[in-house]
Amino acid sequence: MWREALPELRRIAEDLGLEPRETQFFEVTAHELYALAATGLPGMYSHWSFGRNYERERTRHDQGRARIYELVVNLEPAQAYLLDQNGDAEQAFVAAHVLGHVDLFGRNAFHRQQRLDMDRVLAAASLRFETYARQHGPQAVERTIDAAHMLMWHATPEEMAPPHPPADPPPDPYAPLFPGARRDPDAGRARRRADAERARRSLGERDLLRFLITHAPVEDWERDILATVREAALYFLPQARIKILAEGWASFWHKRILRAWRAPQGWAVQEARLHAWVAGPGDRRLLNPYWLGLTILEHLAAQGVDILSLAREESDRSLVGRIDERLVYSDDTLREVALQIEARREPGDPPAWEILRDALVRAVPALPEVDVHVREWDARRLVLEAETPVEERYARVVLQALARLWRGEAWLVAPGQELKGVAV
Amino acid sequence: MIADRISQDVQRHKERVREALKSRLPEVVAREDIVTAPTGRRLRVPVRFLDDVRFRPAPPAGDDATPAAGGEGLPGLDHEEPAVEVELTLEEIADLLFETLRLPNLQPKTAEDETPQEAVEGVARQGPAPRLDRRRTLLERLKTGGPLREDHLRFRDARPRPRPVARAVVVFVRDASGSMDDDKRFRVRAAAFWTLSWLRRQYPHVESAFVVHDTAAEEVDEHAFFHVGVMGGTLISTGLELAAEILEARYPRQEWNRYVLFFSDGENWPGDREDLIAAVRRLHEACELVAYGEVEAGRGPHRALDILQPLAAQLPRYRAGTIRHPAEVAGWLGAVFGGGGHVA
Repeated sequence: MWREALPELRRIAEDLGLEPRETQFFEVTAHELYALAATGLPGMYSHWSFGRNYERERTRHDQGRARIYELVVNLEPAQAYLLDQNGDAEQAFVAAHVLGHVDLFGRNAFHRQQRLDMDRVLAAASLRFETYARQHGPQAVERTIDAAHMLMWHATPEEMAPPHPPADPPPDPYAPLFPGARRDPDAGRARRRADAERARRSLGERDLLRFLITHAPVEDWERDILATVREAALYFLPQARIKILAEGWASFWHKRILRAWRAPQGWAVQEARLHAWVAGPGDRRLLNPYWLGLTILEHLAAQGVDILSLAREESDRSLVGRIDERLVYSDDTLREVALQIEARREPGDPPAWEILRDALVRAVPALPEVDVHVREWDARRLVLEAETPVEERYARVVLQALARLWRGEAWLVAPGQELKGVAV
Repeated sequence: MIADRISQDVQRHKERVREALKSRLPEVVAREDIVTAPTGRRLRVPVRFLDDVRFRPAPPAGDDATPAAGGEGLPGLDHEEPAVEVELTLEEIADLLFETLRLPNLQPKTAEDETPQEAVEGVARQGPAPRLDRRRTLLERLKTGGPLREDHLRFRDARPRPRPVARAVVVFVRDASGSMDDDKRFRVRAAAFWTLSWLRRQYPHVESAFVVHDTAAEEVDEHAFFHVGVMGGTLISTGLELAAEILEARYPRQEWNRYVLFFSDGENWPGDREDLIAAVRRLHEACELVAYGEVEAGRGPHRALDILQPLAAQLPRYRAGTIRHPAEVAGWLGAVFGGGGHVA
């Protein structure tokens, strides 16, 4: 029985230097596991997009293209959901993998930004949303969630809100004593006033939901939905920035935990096979986060890097940026791609391994994909500005949703583009 | 609990997919496997997963060669993921189509010269003894209690009701001249298919007859109508005249709602001009609806659609439109059977 192995696995993890905090293990049906994976968190409110996620994962599962073995959620205590169809050997393997994840929850700065009561925040919000649906109709609620989801990845933590510049300093009571030092008080004041005005109106704000929550003429229930979705985004965003690190980390450590563990007779073979399946190079091997993360971490560890400290501040971008020449030419998969690049390289280009590294860094998904900020607004019009050109068909739908929340027009100005959305 | 909620979300996602599917209906309804499907079969329509909408970077310039497939749709339908296949019955596709087209229900004519039928249509407080409704009367008495009184009595109420003519016949007339190639014939087939499908929803009993013509007309069976190959020139009026004869001989006006739909690529012979106009006028007098589908964007001076154009204003039950592409079938249906909701 795999549960009996848990204390032993945990002890081995701790001997290896990991510090996984208390974790609850649940065995759930495939339906429940895929439902959880679709929403990302227990307690999540109802929305069609989660049904879409569920269908997508189930379709992949049914076609044999992918299988979810477990889901670990960074909460207090940590929660691990294991598929009840797994055999004992698979569960022990998954449990070792989970311990790696839970260690990183406490170790990594991005994970530490996640609030650990998010499941309860969402469960409470779900109840309120159901009330709103009864009061204002499910369609109105769905539309508002739709709009909030379109903007959620622009959320930024409060520390990153534009600072309020200091107001006018109080008059200096000693100034008359030093007439020679007196400067023109008006010059600085005008600039400060302008800055304060910009800050009061949140011009330049990049967190579009925070902006709407503060300034849009929406009703309280709509504001509540916007705020809840933003809170969820602040939970998911840091996690999205360390996907390669987290999966690599969990794979790196489950290998070592299982290696040190005296598994019951016959379990080891299956584990090796399962490990090869999860962490081996798959179809799209370069971007398989398990494989890529594990490969880089193994390389760094072999170089004598203290990865237990390194993981504290690491993100996917910084991790992938650590790919070096030696790694590229010692790994079969990477070398193969590098040789292809080599064949096409023009004289004067950087070395092939650098081109490969930079391409991989660029391939790490960025959220938000386009930086957008508030440029100007009045009661009728909201004008946003993007720093790079946007895909127009998508942008129009977003602007229409924004216009509805603004009860007017929403514009987006981007290099070479000027798009408008009107509330319908 | 989470599992219950997700089932609800899955359901709602399916509804959204169906809504999104509506925007692609013109393309879906003209698919060959649908038009030629054996009845009752479930059809698989590939629909991609609904995408998350957000601000995304414009595709790099010069990348315009990316699939034109998603080019027109809304973001709601374009995705990075492989498609799911939505299984729909023909009935469901038809439901979606007619719902989208918002076709008004056809008004069946009523038989004027027959004895009206009487139908029981309610309850009255007065009436002849044979129509006493014992059950309702008893109920009334139970409501008040005590002995049976006059105001407890309830009678079945019967009213004369004109009997609607429940049968419809549609005569399809097709140009089988040399210029009607496979593609054009397919468009006729798709249009005929959905016309029949619509009429079958409107009338409990629908019959059809098929006429092909070149310079002379001939009645054929359904299979021959859709497949018969190349013949000579084109005199559309001959086809319409045969349709009129078939109607007079076999489908008396009092008993049948009569529809005539004719299809051509419009290259009618110049000498047929007056005969064609006259034939359409005559049929119009004899039918609930006369409709023309031109399956090619004709140009010449003798294009049937142009020749018949003036009739559109004069004859309220004459409709016409082009079907230059399979995806125009849906729009043509909308134009022919009414209701503003064009999809094309």
